[in-house]
Amino acid sequence: MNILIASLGNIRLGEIKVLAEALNKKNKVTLVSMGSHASYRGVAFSPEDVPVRAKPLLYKEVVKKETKKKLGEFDDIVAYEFDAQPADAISVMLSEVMAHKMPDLVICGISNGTHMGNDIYSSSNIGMAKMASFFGVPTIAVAVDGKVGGQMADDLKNAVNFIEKNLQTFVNMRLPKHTFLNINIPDVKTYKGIKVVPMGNAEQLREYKECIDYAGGKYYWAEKSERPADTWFEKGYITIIPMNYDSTDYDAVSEWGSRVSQDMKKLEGGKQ
Amino acid sequence: MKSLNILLVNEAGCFSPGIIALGKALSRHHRVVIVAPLHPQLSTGHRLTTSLSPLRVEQYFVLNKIKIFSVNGTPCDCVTLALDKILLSKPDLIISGISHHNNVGELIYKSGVVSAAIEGTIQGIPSIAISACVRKHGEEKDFLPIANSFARHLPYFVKNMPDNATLNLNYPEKFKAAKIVCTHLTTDMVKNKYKFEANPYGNTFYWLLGHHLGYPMSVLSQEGDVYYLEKGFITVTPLKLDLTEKNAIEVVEKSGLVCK
Repeated sequence: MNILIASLGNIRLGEIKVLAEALNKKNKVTLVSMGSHASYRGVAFSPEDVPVRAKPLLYKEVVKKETKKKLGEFDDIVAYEFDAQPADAISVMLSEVMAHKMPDLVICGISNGTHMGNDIYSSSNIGMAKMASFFGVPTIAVAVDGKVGGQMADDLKNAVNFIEKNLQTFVNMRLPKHTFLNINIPDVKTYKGIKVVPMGNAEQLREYKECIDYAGGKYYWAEKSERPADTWFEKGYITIIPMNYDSTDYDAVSEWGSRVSQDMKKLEGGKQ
Repeated sequence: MKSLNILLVNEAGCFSPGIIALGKALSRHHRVVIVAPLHPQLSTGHRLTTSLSPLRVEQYFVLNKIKIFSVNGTPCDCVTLALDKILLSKPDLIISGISHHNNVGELIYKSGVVSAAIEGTIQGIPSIAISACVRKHGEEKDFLPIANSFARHLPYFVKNMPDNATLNLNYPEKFKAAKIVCTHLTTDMVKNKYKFEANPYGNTFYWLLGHHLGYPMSVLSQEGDVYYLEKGFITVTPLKLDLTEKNAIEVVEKSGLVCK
């Protein structure tokens, strides 16, 4: 299978390598990585007057230099490093670089920190998944429980195993149009099971910490947002949220239409 | 209609003609505060400034009883910071715009104007995003007629506002006698084209050549917001927060995923 892995991390960090190398044993993997920190971007694009900077990398050269390990079976991983917004990277990959042979599956992640509730709007990982599903490609966004200081290869072993085992199922799954999967994986040794859940939609207030600089001016730091209480996730279940990027409120559209026609009837009645 | 407390946001900056025109038009009947980015933040989507830099707020002059605050962040930062620190009380309504170009179809997610309105809804306040059509690139357009027209329609929009939803409004080029239509987002319209380029230093780039180069029939035949906007209607699209695809839950449950 032809798989595109898009990650927010730098290619020189461990977390992307684990997933790419595990999947490349039986499939053809293309890797997208970011040159610099790119979290909380949503579906942001580069401004029109700035080009998207993309650098093709030879995976074996980068990794050989870093780890000096024998590569052999990973020689054919094609990797790109983008200096742009995450959604840009997906757009360039799917509309130019891979346009002649679209991937069978796009995997966004593995992200360090879960995507739940209304936090998904600002998440870069979900932004990339939305962008990929605009192109009609089967897409999953994967996140693990957040850790300060990033994930080590051992922390991700379980999550990578889960993806590897179910790869064919993700590709063959006949989801409705415009739908992608948002998968959150807890940090436990053995998973209790899989739960398909709806998105939590609790009102989410963001708070800021007020600080004062040497000249007496005020400035504000965003406080860390708390994870919405998701009971299945806390109990050790893998939670999957099927998401449709088309956020039109169809009920409201039809309600609006019926109200307008009622208004028209009233007007016509008034005329008579 | 009783006068409302309104918070105005945009993506083009706190001194851009769109937001000033909107402020002037709305301040005749309502109490208006502008909290907007200091610099233009085009196509920032739902970006939030978190761990990398702190936010600073500056207050500028008062124009027609409107207080103007600038924030060195994105449109969504403006909404969250305004609600937590800048405003003394919760506003009744958040209005985002006027954007200099239309935000229709699936690419609304990359727009800072629409995302700021969505963030307002997340925080529990009814929000409206307004975009208007400027065909010629770089040409300054007089936004006051559009702002006045919106201020006249505002009671109608507030009365029909769905619960927990954002309204995305788009004004066509000739909006004066235009009818209002409530419709859905157009999908499957992204056909990005890029131009590949290498600079003298050997770096490689992709230049974006417009998001959609003309609308194909498949886009217009959906009779969504793109279709009605092209026909000259003022389009209203209600956006909900919950993106769960309920039909897919069973499909995923029966697909045979294993975790052991």
